[in-house]
Amino acid sequence: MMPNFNGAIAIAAFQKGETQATYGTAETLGANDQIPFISAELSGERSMSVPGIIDGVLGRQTSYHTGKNFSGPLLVPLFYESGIEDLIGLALGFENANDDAQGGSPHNYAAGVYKHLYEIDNILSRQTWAAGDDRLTSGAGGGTWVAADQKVRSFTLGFAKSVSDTRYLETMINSLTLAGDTEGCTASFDLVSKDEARGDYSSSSWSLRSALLNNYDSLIVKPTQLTASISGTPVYVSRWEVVLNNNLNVDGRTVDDQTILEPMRNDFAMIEFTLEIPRYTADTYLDKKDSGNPEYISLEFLGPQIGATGYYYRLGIFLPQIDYLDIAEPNVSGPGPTNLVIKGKCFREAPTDVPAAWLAANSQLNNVTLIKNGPMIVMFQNARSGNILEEY
Amino acid sequence: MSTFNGVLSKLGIGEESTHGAAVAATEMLRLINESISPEIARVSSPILDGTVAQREDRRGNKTVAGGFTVEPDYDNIDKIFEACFGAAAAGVYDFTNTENISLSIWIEKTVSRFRALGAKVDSFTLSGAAGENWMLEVNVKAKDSDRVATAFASISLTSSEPWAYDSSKIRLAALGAAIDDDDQIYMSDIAIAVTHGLDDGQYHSNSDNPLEHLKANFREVKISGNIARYDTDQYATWEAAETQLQMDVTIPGAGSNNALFQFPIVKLTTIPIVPVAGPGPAPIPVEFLAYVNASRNSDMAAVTNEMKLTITT
Repeated sequence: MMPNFNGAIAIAAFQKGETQATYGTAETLGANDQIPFISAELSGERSMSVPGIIDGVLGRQTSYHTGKNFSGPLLVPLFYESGIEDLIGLALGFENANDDAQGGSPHNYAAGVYKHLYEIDNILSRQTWAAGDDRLTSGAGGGTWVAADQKVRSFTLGFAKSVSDTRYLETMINSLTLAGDTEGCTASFDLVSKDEARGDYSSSSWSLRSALLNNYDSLIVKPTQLTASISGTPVYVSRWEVVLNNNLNVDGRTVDDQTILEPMRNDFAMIEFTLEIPRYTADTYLDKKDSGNPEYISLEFLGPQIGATGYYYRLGIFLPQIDYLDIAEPNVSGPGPTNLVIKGKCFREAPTDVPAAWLAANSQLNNVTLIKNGPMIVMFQNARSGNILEEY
Repeated sequence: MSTFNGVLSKLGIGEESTHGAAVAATEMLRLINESISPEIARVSSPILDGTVAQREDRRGNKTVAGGFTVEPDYDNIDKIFEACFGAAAAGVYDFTNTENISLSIWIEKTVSRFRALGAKVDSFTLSGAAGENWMLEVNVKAKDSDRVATAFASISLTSSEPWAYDSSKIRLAALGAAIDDDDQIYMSDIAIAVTHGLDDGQYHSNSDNPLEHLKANFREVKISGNIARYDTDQYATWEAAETQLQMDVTIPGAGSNNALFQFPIVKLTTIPIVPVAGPGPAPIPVEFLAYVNASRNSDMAAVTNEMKLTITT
């Protein structure tokens, strides 16, 4: 009997592109590559040419394919460790790959405890990895890279759909939305892929990372674990959202190839956020809007202890410079209460430093040297030891 | 710590002597809801300097606009109708070719008081429907806004009554004889909309607030609604012939309370086609545009503009 697709038993998996692979190389999916997800709506668009040939007949004579695009959203729950944190790192594009002793990421606090800092890279397409290019000389604190290694931010993405496996080549993240409300926290990736194929890609071998197996309760990021702050002062929100838009150019193509050229940045990286405060109780934030002073925002989640190490699973989203808060006026729409919705855009005017509190010993952004001076930093503290740019 | 709760809100207005200079509220209105909001424009600087991080936006010009909906009555309306019309004298409200007054609008939001300063009425609509009270929706454009801890002025609503639609009388007739009760028409709903057409805001150096909003277009007075039952083609005949008509709307209250809207010249502006929407009776949708008298209606000689409102108590 032919299998029927059932979304409830679908499987998703991804494998980052190998550091020496050329664009267009398919990676093999297997053990530890599976990630939990909520929905995936990637679709394909076919462009074709239907020439208007005048040959005495009114009907169309022919058409032919000229290109294909694959894109769409992938929605996942947020975990402290599941593999999804790698996707978040790839969306931003950079993790300091120097040795831990030289301020590289991850920082190893204790056996089985690692802190990763992800920063926004200027380039998301393949980049060479020369000495001086954000890392020290190989073997002298810069790790063990070789000249042929590249920074690769694309990945092979697969879905097992019972009828067949679907594989998307060279998938990149055009935008990332991290969001949460009183019900849960999610990451939504707006993806673009070079190509798609269906077949048998050994999805029976795809498996979740061992850390996540039987450990969902501890590793899922819960709304009650959030501490949100504006310029160091806690703010109590009912909803939050941070959107990173990489603004990739996704439709470059040559005449001999129906698939797209490797996407590259087409505009500045735009980061915008929304915080919703359920009750209007003070003019604090409206006064901040009027003053126009720069602010900084952190959204930090504190999870359970990592084993018996005395260290805890953590996730942090840091926005070091918001030029001014933009808040909708709390209008009187009826007899009930009203909320405050705070929005803003994130910038980074060099040499603006991150707030000193974030660099305090063993706290949020300490122990890893930040290199990119970017408008958004994401921190994961978990039991995962690898650097996303070095791993294959 | 106080928490905003709409049930404790109130709205008051005061006439400014200097545009944009805050004054205390002297008249409280019967607030239903409001949407006056300040917006600050962003001026972006997309310079290229070798990094993917964009340079800061700059705060640009400030716009304060929006509206509020109130229930008109016979006693708490003098200043708001003067702001809407332009001229007010002993309960008579009329249009003027000069600029209307500026208001300081105070809105109680429990946490603080929101103020729109230098607010001028851009448009207003009086609407009524069967089974409901009349509503007045006012849209303003203002020079600035702020929030103050200052207590709301100790004003309160004077005891009065809302305008009841079901006791209102609407009359429509051709010119040539004074309008009377034989000319009554029965409308299930009506909206009297006045647009002054203020400019969108002229900004200049050394300020992010606009200059005083001025009248920038012809005034438009439009009356629209539905005749309750399609039982005559008279409206279609008038529309086809571009017949000049006269109209008034009377809203009587208890005792000597009365509001009278007079329109010396109106013409139908849409063809009153009655749709067959189902098996029941159907209304006639109508829309009129009002015109200045220009001595065409001697029976409403005292009404020189498109519309005049007279309130007695």
